[in-house]
Amino acid sequence: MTDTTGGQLELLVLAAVDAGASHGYAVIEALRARSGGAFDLPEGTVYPALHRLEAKDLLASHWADGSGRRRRVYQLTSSGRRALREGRRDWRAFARAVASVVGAP
Amino acid sequence: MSATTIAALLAELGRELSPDLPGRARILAEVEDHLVQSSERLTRDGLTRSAAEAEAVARFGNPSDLAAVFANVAAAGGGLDMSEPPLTGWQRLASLAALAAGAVAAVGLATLALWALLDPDLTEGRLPRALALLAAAILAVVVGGMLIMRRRLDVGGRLQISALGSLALVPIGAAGVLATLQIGQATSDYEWYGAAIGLALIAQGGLAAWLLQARRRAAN
Repeated sequence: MTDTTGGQLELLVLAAVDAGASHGYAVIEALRARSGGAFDLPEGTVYPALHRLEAKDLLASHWADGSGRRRRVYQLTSSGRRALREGRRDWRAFARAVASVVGAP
Repeated sequence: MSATTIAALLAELGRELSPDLPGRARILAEVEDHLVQSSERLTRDGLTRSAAEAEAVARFGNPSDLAAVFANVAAAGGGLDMSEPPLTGWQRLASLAALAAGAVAAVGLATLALWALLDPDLTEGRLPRALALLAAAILAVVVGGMLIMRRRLDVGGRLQISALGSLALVPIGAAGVLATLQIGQATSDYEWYGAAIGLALIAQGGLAAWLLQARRRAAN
């Protein structure tokens, strides 16, 4: 599955969950909507990322019953919130560095 | 990829995912929920049901590719540890109760073993000294093993070992319970003690077994 997020899928997923997307479908919808369609990934891509983040203890999940269906819902752990803060800081530093070489958009 | 329906994609993904993959059932359940949501959304947007399902399947991506990614995630050690899903409120209460029952049993057994060692009159009691000492030895192995392996065991592993320990220790308590039942009352403090320990161990083993089952269900 092609990653069109420049290797930033996990950071993007953390940010989407932080913004209120609590399950896989909502995460992929949030990525598509908030990127203006730039991150139109194969939707299955998000699940290995969610599971990897949970294995790293950056996300926690549980089954929730709603609308007559069981749904796996995700939330950030305290480590996940910390990782997201650090990810945002690193990303800004990286974007500033690239912009200073390539030229600001 | 030839799947154009949710059922066909799930069947293909099920064939591609290794039967031993941790969290396999959970992956399939999440994917099914995703596809149903996606299809319902597309239907609301105006597609027919079959067209919406086909579009949801197409948007989801190739199940073989997804299975390969999950296999790589697991091989890289990034797979989910399905043995330790988070505890719910009731499970936390049951854990505390199991812990308390286990603590009562452990303290009781240690006291019983000391009693058996120090009191020469107990050689004629209904609970042989050797049984009490054997129980204490098993307890020491279980507790010692858990302490040594504490960094490598998750909550489920600890519960499993403690449940196993409980099962091994039940006979000594059961002897006390039986003695009480057979003669209507315990004939000595020693037997009362054995009965109390037996009940605590049975409660702890039962709670541990229930917790493990509940957590296994949550993992899948």
